[in-house]
Amino acid sequence: MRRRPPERGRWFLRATIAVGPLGFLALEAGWMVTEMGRQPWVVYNVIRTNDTVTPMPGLAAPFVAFTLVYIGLAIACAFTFWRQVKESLA
Amino acid sequence: VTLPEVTALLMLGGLVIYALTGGADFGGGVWDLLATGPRARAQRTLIEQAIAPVWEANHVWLIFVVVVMFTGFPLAYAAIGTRFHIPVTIMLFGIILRGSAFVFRHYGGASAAERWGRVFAVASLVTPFFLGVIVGAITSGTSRADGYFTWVDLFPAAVGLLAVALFAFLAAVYLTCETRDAALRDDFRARALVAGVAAAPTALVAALAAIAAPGTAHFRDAFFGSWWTWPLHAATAAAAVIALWALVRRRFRLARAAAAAQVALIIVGWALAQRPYLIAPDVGIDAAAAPRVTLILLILATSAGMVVLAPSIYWLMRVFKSRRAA
Repeated sequence: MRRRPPERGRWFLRATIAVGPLGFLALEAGWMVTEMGRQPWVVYNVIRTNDTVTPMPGLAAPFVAFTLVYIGLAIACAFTFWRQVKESLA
Repeated sequence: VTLPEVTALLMLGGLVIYALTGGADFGGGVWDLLATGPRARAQRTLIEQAIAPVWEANHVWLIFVVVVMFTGFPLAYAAIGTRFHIPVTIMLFGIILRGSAFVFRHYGGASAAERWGRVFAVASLVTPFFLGVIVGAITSGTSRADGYFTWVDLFPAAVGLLAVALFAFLAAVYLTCETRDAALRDDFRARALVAGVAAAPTALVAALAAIAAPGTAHFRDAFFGSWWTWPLHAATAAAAVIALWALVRRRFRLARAAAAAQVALIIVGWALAQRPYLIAPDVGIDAAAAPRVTLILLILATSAGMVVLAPSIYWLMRVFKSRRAA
Protein backbone atom coordinates (compact mmCIF):
# COMPACT_ATOMS: atom_id res chain seq x y z
CA MET A 1 0.00 0.00 0.00
CA ARG A 2 1.31 3.41 -0.98
CA ARG A 3 1.47 6.01 1.71
CA ARG A 4 -0.32 9.26 0.98
CA PRO A 5 2.03 12.26 0.95
CA PRO A 6 1.73 14.16 4.24
CA GLU A 7 0.03 17.21 2.69
CA ARG A 8 -2.82 14.95 1.52
CA GLY A 9 -3.26 13.17 4.84
CA ARG A 10 -6.66 13.15 6.51
CA TRP A 11 -5.54 14.89 9.70
CA PHE A 12 -3.47 17.42 7.89
CA LEU A 13 -6.48 18.41 5.78
CA ARG A 14 -8.73 18.56 8.84
CA ALA A 15 -6.24 20.79 10.59
CA THR A 16 -6.09 23.01 7.50
CA ILE A 17 -9.85 23.56 7.70
CA ALA A 18 -9.68 24.17 11.43
CA VAL A 19 -7.00 26.89 11.15
CA GLY A 20 -8.77 28.59 8.24
CA PRO A 21 -10.53 31.22 10.36
CA LEU A 22 -7.42 31.93 12.44
CA GLY A 23 -6.07 34.37 9.86
CA PHE A 24 -9.23 36.46 10.13
CA LEU A 25 -9.15 36.21 13.91
CA ALA A 26 -5.56 37.45 14.00
CA LEU A 27 -6.43 40.29 11.65
CA GLU A 28 -9.44 41.42 13.67
CA ALA A 29 -7.62 41.00 16.97
CA GLY A 30 -4.77 43.12 15.64
CA TRP A 31 -7.20 45.86 14.65
CA MET A 32 -8.84 45.79 18.05
CA VAL A 33 -5.49 46.02 19.83
CA THR A 34 -4.37 49.03 17.80
CA GLU A 35 -7.71 50.86 17.81
CA MET A 36 -8.95 50.13 21.32
CA GLY A 37 -5.55 49.88 22.95
CA ARG A 38 -4.71 53.42 21.85
CA GLN A 39 -7.75 54.97 23.52
CA PRO A 40 -8.37 57.62 24.74
CA TRP A 41 -5.90 58.89 22.14
CA VAL A 42 -6.58 59.03 18.43
CA VAL A 43 -2.91 59.94 17.82
CA TYR A 44 -0.99 58.62 20.79
CA ASN A 45 0.03 61.41 23.19
CA VAL A 46 -0.86 64.03 20.59
CA ILE A 47 -4.61 64.36 20.31
CA ARG A 48 -7.51 62.70 22.12
CA THR A 49 -10.39 60.99 20.36
CA ASN A 50 -12.82 63.27 22.21
CA ASP A 51 -11.23 66.35 20.68
CA THR A 52 -11.36 65.07 17.11
CA VAL A 53 -14.97 63.97 16.84
CA THR A 54 -17.03 65.92 14.30
CA PRO A 55 -19.43 68.55 15.69
CA MET A 56 -22.05 67.09 13.33
CA PRO A 57 -25.15 66.21 15.39
CA GLY A 58 -27.11 62.96 15.00
CA LEU A 59 -24.11 60.69 14.49
CA ALA A 60 -26.29 57.79 15.59
CA ALA A 61 -27.87 57.83 12.13
CA PRO A 62 -24.71 57.09 10.09
CA PHE A 63 -23.53 54.70 12.82
CA VAL A 64 -26.71 52.62 12.55
CA ALA A 65 -26.74 52.89 8.76
CA PHE A 66 -23.13 51.73 8.37
CA THR A 67 -23.71 48.87 10.82
CA LEU A 68 -26.79 47.69 8.92
CA VAL A 69 -25.07 47.96 5.53
CA TYR A 70 -22.10 45.93 6.73
CA ILE A 71 -24.30 43.30 8.36
CA GLY A 72 -26.16 43.04 5.06
CA LEU A 73 -22.90 42.78 3.12
CA ALA A 74 -21.60 40.13 5.53
CA ILE A 75 -24.74 38.05 4.94
CA ALA A 76 -24.46 38.50 1.18
CA CYS A 77 -20.80 37.55 1.38
CA ALA A 78 -21.59 34.40 3.37
CA PHE A 79 -24.25 33.41 0.82
CA THR A 80 -21.84 33.98 -2.05
CA PHE A 81 -19.10 31.91 -0.39
CA TRP A 82 -21.60 29.14 0.40
CA ARG A 83 -22.72 29.12 -3.22
CA GLN A 84 -19.15 28.81 -4.42
CA VAL A 85 -18.53 25.88 -2.04
CA LYS A 86 -21.72 24.12 -3.14
CA GLU A 87 -20.83 24.60 -6.80
CA SER A 88 -17.33 23.26 -6.34
CA LEU A 89 -18.77 20.14 -4.64
CA ALA A 90 -21.42 19.55 -7.29
CA VAL B 1 3.55 79.26 -8.02
CA THR B 2 3.75 78.51 -4.32
CA LEU B 3 4.30 75.17 -2.63
CA PRO B 4 0.64 74.89 -1.53
CA GLU B 5 -0.39 75.60 -5.12
CA VAL B 6 1.82 72.78 -6.41
CA THR B 7 0.11 70.50 -3.89
CA ALA B 8 -3.28 71.74 -5.04
CA LEU B 9 -2.21 71.00 -8.62
CA LEU B 10 -1.50 67.41 -7.59
CA MET B 11 -5.09 67.18 -6.34
CA LEU B 12 -6.38 68.72 -9.55
CA GLY B 13 -4.41 66.20 -11.60
CA GLY B 14 -5.81 63.36 -9.52
CA LEU B 15 -9.34 64.72 -9.86
CA VAL B 16 -9.05 65.03 -13.65
CA ILE B 17 -7.74 61.46 -14.01
CA TYR B 18 -10.44 60.23 -11.63
CA ALA B 19 -13.14 61.90 -13.73
CA LEU B 20 -11.74 60.45 -16.96
CA THR B 21 -11.42 56.92 -15.58
CA GLY B 22 -13.56 56.43 -12.47
CA GLY B 23 -16.10 58.91 -13.80
CA ALA B 24 -16.54 56.79 -16.91
CA ASP B 25 -17.10 53.75 -14.66
CA PHE B 26 -19.99 55.58 -13.01
CA GLY B 27 -21.27 56.46 -16.45
CA GLY B 28 -21.08 52.79 -17.41
CA GLY B 29 -23.32 52.00 -14.45
CA VAL B 30 -25.78 54.66 -15.60
CA TRP B 31 -26.02 52.94 -19.01
CA ASP B 32 -26.49 49.63 -17.21
CA LEU B 33 -29.49 51.21 -15.49
CA LEU B 34 -30.78 52.58 -18.81
CA ALA B 35 -30.04 49.49 -20.91
CA THR B 36 -32.94 49.08 -23.35
CA GLY B 37 -33.87 47.56 -26.67
CA PRO B 38 -33.19 44.13 -28.16
CA ARG B 39 -29.53 44.32 -27.13
CA ALA B 40 -30.07 45.39 -23.49
CA ARG B 41 -28.38 42.23 -22.29
CA ALA B 42 -25.42 42.64 -24.64
CA GLN B 43 -25.08 46.26 -23.54
CA ARG B 44 -24.85 45.22 -19.90
CA THR B 45 -22.30 42.52 -20.71
CA LEU B 46 -20.14 44.95 -22.66
CA ILE B 47 -20.26 47.48 -19.82
CA GLU B 48 -19.25 44.82 -17.31
CA GLN B 49 -16.39 43.61 -19.51
CA ALA B 50 -15.18 47.16 -20.05
CA ILE B 51 -15.23 48.06 -16.36
CA ALA B 52 -14.12 44.80 -14.72
CA PRO B 53 -10.34 44.90 -15.33
CA VAL B 54 -9.85 48.57 -14.47
CA TRP B 55 -12.46 49.84 -12.02
CA GLU B 56 -10.49 49.19 -8.85
CA ALA B 57 -7.42 50.92 -10.28
CA ASN B 58 -9.59 53.81 -11.46
CA HIS B 59 -10.94 54.49 -8.01
CA VAL B 60 -7.42 54.70 -6.61
CA TRP B 61 -7.41 58.26 -7.96
CA LEU B 62 -10.16 59.34 -5.61
CA ILE B 63 -8.15 57.91 -2.73
CA PHE B 64 -5.12 59.78 -4.07
CA VAL B 65 -7.02 63.09 -4.02
CA VAL B 66 -8.38 62.40 -0.54
CA VAL B 67 -4.95 61.46 0.86
CA VAL B 68 -3.21 64.47 -0.69
CA MET B 69 -5.90 66.70 0.82
CA PHE B 70 -5.70 64.96 4.20
CA THR B 71 -1.92 65.42 4.28
CA GLY B 72 -1.47 68.69 2.42
CA PHE B 73 -4.60 70.62 3.42
CA PRO B 74 -5.79 69.19 6.75
CA LEU B 75 -7.96 72.24 7.45
CA ALA B 76 -9.80 71.84 4.13
CA TYR B 77 -10.14 68.11 4.75
CA ALA B 78 -11.68 68.79 8.16
CA ALA B 79 -13.97 71.49 6.77
CA ILE B 80 -15.26 69.23 3.97
CA GLY B 81 -15.74 66.34 6.40
CA THR B 82 -17.78 68.54 8.71
CA ARG B 83 -19.78 70.83 6.43
CA PHE B 84 -20.49 68.22 3.81
CA HIS B 85 -20.77 65.28 6.19
CA ILE B 86 -24.10 64.20 4.72
CA PRO B 87 -23.24 64.19 0.99
CA VAL B 88 -19.81 62.67 1.75
CA THR B 89 -21.48 59.88 3.74
CA ILE B 90 -24.04 59.25 0.99
CA MET B 91 -21.22 59.11 -1.55
CA LEU B 92 -19.34 56.67 0.65
CA PHE B 93 -22.41 54.42 0.85
CA GLY B 94 -22.66 54.63 -2.91
CA ILE B 95 -19.02 53.61 -3.38
CA ILE B 96 -19.32 50.71 -0.90
CA LEU B 97 -22.53 49.35 -2.41
CA ARG B 98 -21.34 49.83 -5.97
CA GLY B 99 -18.11 47.94 -5.46
CA SER B 100 -19.75 45.14 -3.47
CA ALA B 101 -22.63 44.85 -5.92
CA PHE B 102 -20.23 44.59 -8.85
CA VAL B 103 -18.55 41.58 -7.23
CA PHE B 104 -21.71 39.91 -5.88
CA ARG B 105 -23.37 40.30 -9.26
CA HIS B 106 -20.55 38.37 -10.84
CA TYR B 107 -20.28 35.52 -8.32
CA GLY B 108 -23.78 35.28 -6.88
CA GLY B 109 -25.65 33.34 -9.56
CA ALA B 110 -28.41 34.39 -11.93
CA SER B 111 -31.08 35.62 -9.49
CA ALA B 112 -28.55 37.48 -7.38
CA ALA B 113 -27.07 38.98 -10.55
CA GLU B 114 -30.27 40.83 -11.30
CA ARG B 115 -30.73 42.16 -7.77
CA TRP B 116 -27.12 43.26 -7.36
CA GLY B 117 -27.13 44.60 -10.91
CA ARG B 118 -29.82 47.04 -9.88
CA VAL B 119 -27.91 48.04 -6.73
CA PHE B 120 -24.81 48.58 -8.89
CA ALA B 121 -26.71 50.71 -11.40
CA VAL B 122 -28.52 52.89 -8.85
CA ALA B 123 -25.32 53.41 -6.85
CA SER B 124 -23.61 54.39 -10.13
CA LEU B 125 -26.15 57.18 -10.51
CA VAL B 126 -26.27 58.40 -6.91
CA THR B 127 -22.51 58.45 -6.23
CA PRO B 128 -21.37 60.81 -9.02
CA PHE B 129 -24.37 63.05 -8.38
CA PHE B 130 -23.22 63.60 -4.82
CA LEU B 131 -19.61 63.94 -5.94
CA GLY B 132 -20.84 66.81 -8.12
CA VAL B 133 -22.90 68.21 -5.25
CA ILE B 134 -19.79 68.30 -3.05
CA VAL B 135 -17.73 69.97 -5.79
CA GLY B 136 -20.51 72.51 -6.32
CA ALA B 137 -20.87 73.13 -2.60
CA ILE B 138 -17.11 73.70 -2.30
CA THR B 139 -17.65 76.54 -4.74
CA SER B 140 -20.88 78.02 -3.39
CA GLY B 141 -21.26 76.40 0.03
CA THR B 142 -22.04 79.53 1.97
CA SER B 143 -24.87 80.93 -0.07
CA ARG B 144 -27.07 79.87 2.85
CA ALA B 145 -26.63 80.24 6.57
CA ASP B 146 -23.75 78.21 7.94
CA GLY B 147 -24.49 74.69 9.00
CA TYR B 148 -24.63 71.16 7.70
CA PHE B 149 -27.01 71.81 4.82
CA THR B 150 -25.27 74.50 2.80
CA TRP B 151 -24.94 71.95 -0.01
CA VAL B 152 -28.71 71.80 -0.42
CA ASP B 153 -28.86 74.47 -3.07
CA LEU B 154 -29.41 74.99 -6.76
CA PHE B 155 -25.78 75.31 -7.82
CA PRO B 156 -24.51 72.11 -6.13
CA ALA B 157 -27.51 70.21 -7.52
CA ALA B 158 -26.79 71.54 -11.00
CA VAL B 159 -23.14 70.49 -10.74
CA GLY B 160 -24.30 67.05 -9.55
CA LEU B 161 -26.49 66.67 -12.64
CA LEU B 162 -23.67 67.96 -14.85
CA ALA B 163 -21.30 65.35 -13.37
CA VAL B 164 -23.79 62.56 -14.10
CA ALA B 165 -24.37 63.81 -17.66
CA LEU B 166 -20.65 64.20 -18.40
CA PHE B 167 -19.75 60.80 -16.93
CA ALA B 168 -22.54 59.14 -18.89
CA PHE B 169 -21.30 60.90 -22.02
CA LEU B 170 -17.69 59.79 -21.40
CA ALA B 171 -18.76 56.21 -20.75
CA ALA B 172 -20.88 55.98 -23.89
CA VAL B 173 -18.06 57.44 -26.01
CA TYR B 174 -15.51 55.03 -24.48
CA LEU B 175 -17.87 52.09 -25.02
CA THR B 176 -18.04 52.78 -28.77
CA CYS B 177 -14.33 51.87 -28.79
CA GLU B 178 -14.85 48.68 -26.77
CA THR B 179 -16.74 46.48 -29.20
CA ARG B 180 -16.49 45.24 -32.78
CA ASP B 181 -20.24 44.59 -32.90
CA ALA B 182 -21.57 47.33 -35.20
CA ALA B 183 -25.12 47.33 -33.77
CA LEU B 184 -23.88 47.50 -30.20
CA ARG B 185 -21.45 50.23 -31.13
CA ASP B 186 -24.30 52.23 -32.67
CA ASP B 187 -26.32 51.82 -29.48
CA PHE B 188 -23.58 53.55 -27.55
CA ARG B 189 -22.98 56.06 -30.33
CA ALA B 190 -26.63 57.14 -30.02
CA ARG B 191 -26.32 57.24 -26.23
CA ALA B 192 -23.14 59.31 -26.44
CA LEU B 193 -24.85 61.80 -28.75
CA VAL B 194 -27.87 62.10 -26.44
CA ALA B 195 -25.71 62.50 -23.32
CA GLY B 196 -23.33 64.91 -25.06
CA VAL B 197 -26.19 67.11 -26.16
CA ALA B 198 -27.93 66.76 -22.77
CA ALA B 199 -24.77 67.95 -20.98
CA ALA B 200 -25.12 71.36 -22.65
CA PRO B 201 -28.39 72.47 -20.98
CA THR B 202 -27.14 70.97 -17.70
CA ALA B 203 -24.02 73.10 -17.95
CA LEU B 204 -26.21 76.08 -18.78
CA VAL B 205 -28.33 75.51 -15.66
CA ALA B 206 -25.12 75.29 -13.60
CA ALA B 207 -23.86 78.53 -15.15
CA LEU B 208 -27.20 80.28 -14.50
CA ALA B 209 -27.23 78.96 -10.92
CA ALA B 210 -23.69 80.32 -10.50
CA ILE B 211 -24.84 83.71 -11.77
CA ALA B 212 -27.88 83.72 -9.48
CA ALA B 213 -26.24 82.48 -6.27
CA PRO B 214 -24.71 85.18 -4.07
CA GLY B 215 -22.08 82.78 -2.68
CA THR B 216 -20.47 82.20 -6.05
CA ALA B 217 -19.54 85.82 -6.85
CA HIS B 218 -15.77 85.17 -6.72
CA PHE B 219 -16.17 82.06 -8.88
CA ARG B 220 -18.40 83.80 -11.40
CA ASP B 221 -16.06 86.78 -11.75
CA ALA B 222 -13.04 84.55 -12.29
CA PHE B 223 -14.88 82.14 -14.55
CA PHE B 224 -16.20 84.83 -16.88
CA GLY B 225 -13.67 87.64 -16.45
CA SER B 226 -10.10 86.31 -16.33
CA TRP B 227 -7.42 86.44 -19.00
CA TRP B 228 -7.84 82.69 -19.48
CA THR B 229 -11.63 82.84 -19.69
CA TRP B 230 -12.11 82.94 -23.45
CA PRO B 231 -9.18 80.75 -24.55
CA LEU B 232 -10.28 78.09 -22.08
CA HIS B 233 -13.98 78.24 -22.93
CA ALA B 234 -13.15 78.25 -26.64
CA ALA B 235 -10.96 75.16 -26.20
CA THR B 236 -13.67 73.39 -24.19
CA ALA B 237 -16.30 74.23 -26.78
CA ALA B 238 -13.99 73.08 -29.59
CA ALA B 239 -13.41 69.76 -27.83
CA ALA B 240 -17.18 69.31 -27.34
CA VAL B 241 -17.94 70.08 -30.99
CA ILE B 242 -15.14 67.80 -32.24
CA ALA B 243 -16.40 64.99 -29.97
CA LEU B 244 -19.96 65.25 -31.31
CA TRP B 245 -18.80 65.65 -34.91
CA ALA B 246 -16.50 62.63 -34.59
CA LEU B 247 -19.41 60.60 -33.19
CA VAL B 248 -21.62 61.61 -36.09
CA ARG B 249 -18.86 60.69 -38.55
CA ARG B 250 -18.11 57.46 -36.64
CA ARG B 251 -14.52 58.47 -35.88
CA PHE B 252 -14.76 56.85 -32.48
CA ARG B 253 -11.15 57.07 -31.34
CA LEU B 254 -11.08 60.77 -32.14
CA ALA B 255 -14.39 61.16 -30.28
CA ARG B 256 -12.87 59.43 -27.26
CA ALA B 257 -9.88 61.79 -27.17
CA ALA B 258 -12.05 64.88 -27.69
CA ALA B 259 -14.59 63.86 -25.03
CA ALA B 260 -11.79 63.25 -22.52
CA ALA B 261 -10.26 66.64 -23.38
CA GLN B 262 -13.65 68.31 -22.96
CA VAL B 263 -14.22 66.88 -19.48
CA ALA B 264 -10.64 67.62 -18.41
CA LEU B 265 -10.95 71.25 -19.59
CA ILE B 266 -14.24 71.71 -17.70
CA ILE B 267 -12.57 70.58 -14.47
CA VAL B 268 -9.48 72.72 -15.10
CA GLY B 269 -11.76 75.72 -15.71
CA TRP B 270 -13.58 75.05 -12.46
CA ALA B 271 -10.29 74.82 -10.57
CA LEU B 272 -8.88 78.01 -12.12
CA ALA B 273 -12.02 79.94 -11.17
CA GLN B 274 -11.97 78.40 -7.71
CA ARG B 275 -8.43 79.63 -7.05
CA PRO B 276 -7.26 80.94 -4.53
CA TYR B 277 -9.84 78.99 -2.54
CA LEU B 278 -10.12 75.31 -1.74
CA ILE B 279 -13.50 75.92 -0.17
CA ALA B 280 -15.08 79.25 -0.91
CA PRO B 281 -15.13 81.75 0.63
CA ASP B 282 -13.14 81.06 3.77
CA VAL B 283 -10.64 78.22 3.20
CA GLY B 284 -7.78 79.46 1.04
CA ILE B 285 -5.12 77.29 -0.59
CA ASP B 286 -2.29 78.95 1.35
CA ALA B 287 -4.11 79.27 4.65
CA ALA B 288 -5.31 75.64 4.74
CA ALA B 289 -1.94 74.16 3.76
CA ALA B 290 0.11 71.94 6.04
CA PRO B 291 3.58 73.08 7.20
CA ARG B 292 6.21 73.52 4.48
CA VAL B 293 8.15 70.40 5.39
CA THR B 294 4.99 68.26 5.13
CA LEU B 295 4.24 69.63 1.67
CA ILE B 296 7.82 69.01 0.47
CA LEU B 297 7.74 65.43 1.76
CA LEU B 298 4.27 64.92 0.27
CA ILE B 299 5.36 66.15 -3.16
CA LEU B 300 8.52 64.00 -3.03
CA ALA B 301 6.55 60.95 -1.92
CA THR B 302 3.89 61.33 -4.62
CA SER B 303 6.58 61.90 -7.26
CA ALA B 304 8.40 58.76 -6.17
CA GLY B 305 5.10 56.88 -6.08
CA MET B 306 4.28 58.00 -9.61
CA VAL B 307 7.46 56.35 -10.87
CA VAL B 308 5.87 53.04 -9.88
CA LEU B 309 2.23 53.93 -10.44
CA ALA B 310 2.37 55.62 -13.84
CA PRO B 311 3.99 52.71 -15.75
CA SER B 312 1.69 50.22 -13.96
CA ILE B 313 -1.43 52.14 -14.95
CA TYR B 314 -0.05 52.59 -18.45
CA TRP B 315 0.41 48.83 -18.83
CA LEU B 316 -2.97 48.09 -17.32
CA MET B 317 -4.68 50.38 -19.82
CA ARG B 318 -2.50 49.13 -22.65
CA VAL B 319 -3.32 45.53 -21.94
CA PHE B 320 -7.06 46.01 -21.54
CA LYS B 321 -7.96 49.15 -23.44
CA SER B 322 -5.88 49.46 -26.59
CA ARG B 323 -6.93 48.41 -30.03
CA ARG B 324 -9.53 46.04 -28.70
CA ALA B 325 -12.05 47.08 -31.32
CA ALA B 326 -10.17 49.18 -33.82
